[in-house]
Amino acid sequence: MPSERAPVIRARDIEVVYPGHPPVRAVRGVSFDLFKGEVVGLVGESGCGKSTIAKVLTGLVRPAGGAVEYHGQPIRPLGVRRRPLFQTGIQMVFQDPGSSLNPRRPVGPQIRDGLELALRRRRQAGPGDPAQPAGPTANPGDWLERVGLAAGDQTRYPGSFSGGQRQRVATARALAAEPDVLIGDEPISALDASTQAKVAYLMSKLAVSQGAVLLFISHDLSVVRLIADRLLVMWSGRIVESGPTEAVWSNPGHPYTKVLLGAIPAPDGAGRLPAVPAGTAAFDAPPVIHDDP
Amino acid sequence: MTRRSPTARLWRAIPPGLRQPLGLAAGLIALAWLVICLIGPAIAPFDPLAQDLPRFSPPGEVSFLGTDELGRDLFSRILAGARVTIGLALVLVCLSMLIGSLLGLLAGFFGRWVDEAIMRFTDLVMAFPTVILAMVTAAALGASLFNAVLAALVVSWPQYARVVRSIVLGLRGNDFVWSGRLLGFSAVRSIRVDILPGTMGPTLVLASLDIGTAALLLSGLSFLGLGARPPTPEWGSMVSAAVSHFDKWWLGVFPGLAILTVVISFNFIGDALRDALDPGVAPR
Ligand SMILES: Nc1ncnc2c1ncn2[C@@H]1O[C@H](COP(=O)(O)OP(=O)(O)O)[C@@H](O)[C@H]1O
Ligand SMILES: [Mg+2]
Repeated sequence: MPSERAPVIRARDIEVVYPGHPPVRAVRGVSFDLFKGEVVGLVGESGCGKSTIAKVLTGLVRPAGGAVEYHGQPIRPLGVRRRPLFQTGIQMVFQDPGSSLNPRRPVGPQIRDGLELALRRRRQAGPGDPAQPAGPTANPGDWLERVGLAAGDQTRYPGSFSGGQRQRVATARALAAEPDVLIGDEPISALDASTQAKVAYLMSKLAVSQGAVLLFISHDLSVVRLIADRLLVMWSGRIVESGPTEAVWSNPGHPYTKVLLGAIPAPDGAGRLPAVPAGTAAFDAPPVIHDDP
Repeated sequence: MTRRSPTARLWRAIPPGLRQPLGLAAGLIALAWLVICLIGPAIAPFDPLAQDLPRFSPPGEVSFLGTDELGRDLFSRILAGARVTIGLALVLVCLSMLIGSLLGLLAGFFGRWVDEAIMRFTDLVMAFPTVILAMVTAAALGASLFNAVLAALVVSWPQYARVVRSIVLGLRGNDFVWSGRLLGFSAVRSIRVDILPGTMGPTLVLASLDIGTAALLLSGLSFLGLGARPPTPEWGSMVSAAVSHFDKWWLGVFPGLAILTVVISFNFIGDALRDALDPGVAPR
């Protein structure tokens, strides 16, 4: 059972405040654990703080409060210096297919960046290191094939691929680094409906087969529920409901989740979560936590 | 795709701004000047330094463009001077581009105090009128061509720093830059792989726009006696020498025309390049 094992990611009471007038409290006390091999869906409407959580986990944003640990080590915010090798076990696929890859480099070398990182981590990770990657070495061509493209596409530039294909390449690049945490920050939101489910399935299949956790972020529940073992429902900077996908789906407890599920059309990828203004009193109910089965 | 003849393909390779009579003329003139930079002294009919022709011979008598107050052939001196004026302008532009881009990259990428410090300094330099600052610097360094280039460098790097910085600021927020950092890129690697290539196009456009200006600035300094020393055949100092012989119109007009055509033709090329690379900017 997950709760008996040490989590890969342990987040406690994360608070994030963006400076400004007035400052934006984007995340207000969020706690969760991520365990090896599971697919977790983080869902909620636009602006509820999902990307901010992803940025905290990757060190792109420094939390104002709380603690985030990766294999028991605090995550160091990314500064001018190179990212600590240990923490490169957390990788991310970004939302916008138009900027998730460098348009001026062929995709082969970009995937090779991930492979080189995996090599470095293998060389430097000590024995017994929980983040030490395992498995045979691959080349960019292998990775392109794994994500459903052709090995010969290595020399092509991102501009010659469709949005869905680019997200496949970005997935290959991130997974080539052999991370044990893969975060997809709305990686399918910009894709058309017919591609969304395919890319989502691919990401979860590949991540799970590598033994990684997939934290799949979306404002669209219809696809997430097909791949996620567990759901975290966010509203206004908080997690308002969490639990196994089936439990949340069939027995939503929090008023926001109910509204959210009520708004889900057929899982054709066209579903969009309802926008509910922050401060809507009806949703300030206590969080609902479904027990793990 | 329809098949095109080689000439048609060559035509398409020319930036649209140059594909009109005026633009084509400018391109050809600039090209001609660059060729003259390379082979000028070799095709000069006379030794540009030799003082053995009749003095003040008007154009067409002893030689094509006449002779100067020391009996040197004006045409040969202009041909030889291309290498000095345009050659040094190219050197100047390359150096400004290098220094300015480096500072702009650092400021844009690292932000915070690095940016503050570099941009404050850039603003300070830009606050002075260009020509006056260059003059003062050249005067302080002492009159020589080398010092004139240094003085021109002092005033011409800031525009590159500004442009490169603003491009870097735009690029830095791109997801692929963050992906690179997440894959363990050092700052240097990130700049080299994900940032620098994106700054190249606009920087080269700025540089080509700047060649004419640089030539003008260098010959201006020489005109003021702060650059080339006699007998170096430099266009600005040739115009300057002509001032004391105003009735001998050819002495000033021809070197002046040389400067003018360089400035105009290179500006044209820069404009055309800019329009070609950035269709968002309406042609002027
Ligand atoms: N860099 C930033 N500066 C200021 N406010 C921000 C910044 N990034 C996000 N926010 C704000 O924080 C809140 C959460 O944003 P985000 O995490 O991107 O939400 P989501 O990914 O769920 O759409 C939003 O209100 C957004 O406007
Ligand atoms: Mg987001």
